[in-house]
Parts: sequence; structure tokens; C-alpha cells
Amino acid sequence: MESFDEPNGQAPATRRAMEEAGLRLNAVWMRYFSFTGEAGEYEIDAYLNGSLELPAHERDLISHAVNELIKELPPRRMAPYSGKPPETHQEQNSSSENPS
Amino acid sequence: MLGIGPCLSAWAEQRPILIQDITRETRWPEWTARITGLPLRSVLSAPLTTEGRRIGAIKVYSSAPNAFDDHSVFLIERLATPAAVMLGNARDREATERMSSQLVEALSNRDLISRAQGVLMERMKLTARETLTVMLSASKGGDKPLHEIAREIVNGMTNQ
Repeated sequence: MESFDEPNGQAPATRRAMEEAGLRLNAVWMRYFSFTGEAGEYEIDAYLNGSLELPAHERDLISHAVNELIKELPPRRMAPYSGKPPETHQEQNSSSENPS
Repeated sequence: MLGIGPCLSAWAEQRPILIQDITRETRWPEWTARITGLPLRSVLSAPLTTEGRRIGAIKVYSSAPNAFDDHSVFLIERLATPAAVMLGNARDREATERMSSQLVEALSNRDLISRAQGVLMERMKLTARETLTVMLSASKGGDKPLHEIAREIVNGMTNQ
């Protein structure tokens, strides 16, 4: 019933995404936990480092937690064009659909 | 930030640093170059350490050369110990508060998602796991956080 097969290197790719975005394990686990994830932080660590297999369902919850946290990171600074005033932070905020 | 100087050395080497006279100090040339012109001749710096954790360093300056001696080092170390304990405690308390507010938020989102699962199980005759798959694809497709999807499902139910 549980699908444990992990053909495409989901764990190492997830770990790379975390590292590149500078996400901490605790933050990822907390988000995953809020998604009703059942594995503990220690198990997530083991999964990311290739020493524990998790069912596809839990793996996808971890991936989704990582992806949500990446989307919440502040946008990268953009280069300005000639003759235009630099875009202010205000404008960047109003263009996103953040409800806060 | 220079990244070098007596305070950072005190912190890194975990020992007090005493500079009798800036004008004759050769250990931190870049730092002494920067502070030339300031009314500053002697420096005493001690590490703030508690339970093996390096919190930072405390420093005292004087505009007179040779203002500090071995007794000053003794005094600053007497002060540094309780100061480090207090700072360490304040830091722990802050970390705990931050941690528990994150946990409260995670728990309330987890609860929200469980309630949305209940709604979908009833409405679509799905298993708990299948409802999460449905919500995950809605979150991915609509570029909305999972707990927002769950909130919409729960609110949609209560509004009807």
C-alpha cells in the first residue's frame, strides 16, 4: 500500500534545495509537521541524508514544506534600467498577492 | 565591521586582552589604524562565556595609557562571569519564546488541515491520505500555501 520506491533521488534533491535556499532542518520539520506530517525531526534528517526511507506521501509533504518556505523567501534584488527610478520595496510588495 | 581587533581576539581565544598603549600596539595593525584619532589609549577586553558557550566580549576603554593592570583584569573577569550568565539566560528565553510561538502556529495549521481533511472525506468520500493529496495539488496548482487551501475548504463548509 505504501509506495517506498524512490527512483528519482527525491531525498538528495530536496536536501540540495534546502541547502541552496539556506533553510534550516528545524524550520522544514515544523512546516512539515503543520501539514500533518508524522515523522520526527530526527527521521527527516535521516531521510534527507539517505539513511532512512519514507513513504511517498511523507516525502511529498517534506518537499511541499521546503517549496513553501522557498517561496516565502524575500525576492532577489533586481537590476535597475536606465532612465527609470529604481523600483521601491513598496511597489514590490503591492504586486505580490500577500494578504498581510 | 573590520572582523579583527582585541575584542574579537578575546572572544576567539577565550582569554582577556590588555592593551597598555594603542600607540605601541602591533598585534592588530588594521584596527589600530582605524581608531587613530579617537580619544583612546588603553583597552581591556574579556570574553563572555557561560557553560562553554561563547556569548561575546566585554571591553573597557581609557583615554590614558597604562590605565589597566592585573587587578583590572581580575575585576573585569569577575564582572564578565555573571554578565555572561545573564546574557545567556536572556538568549535562551528569547529562543524558547520564538520556538513556542512557531509551535503554536504549526499546531493551529495542523489542526486546520485536519479539519479540512474531515470535510473532504465526508464530501468526496475519500480517505484521509487522499484528501491531503487533493489539497497538495490544489496548493501546487494555485500557488497558495497548503493551510490557505485548508482554510478555504473549512470556511466554505461553514458558510454553506
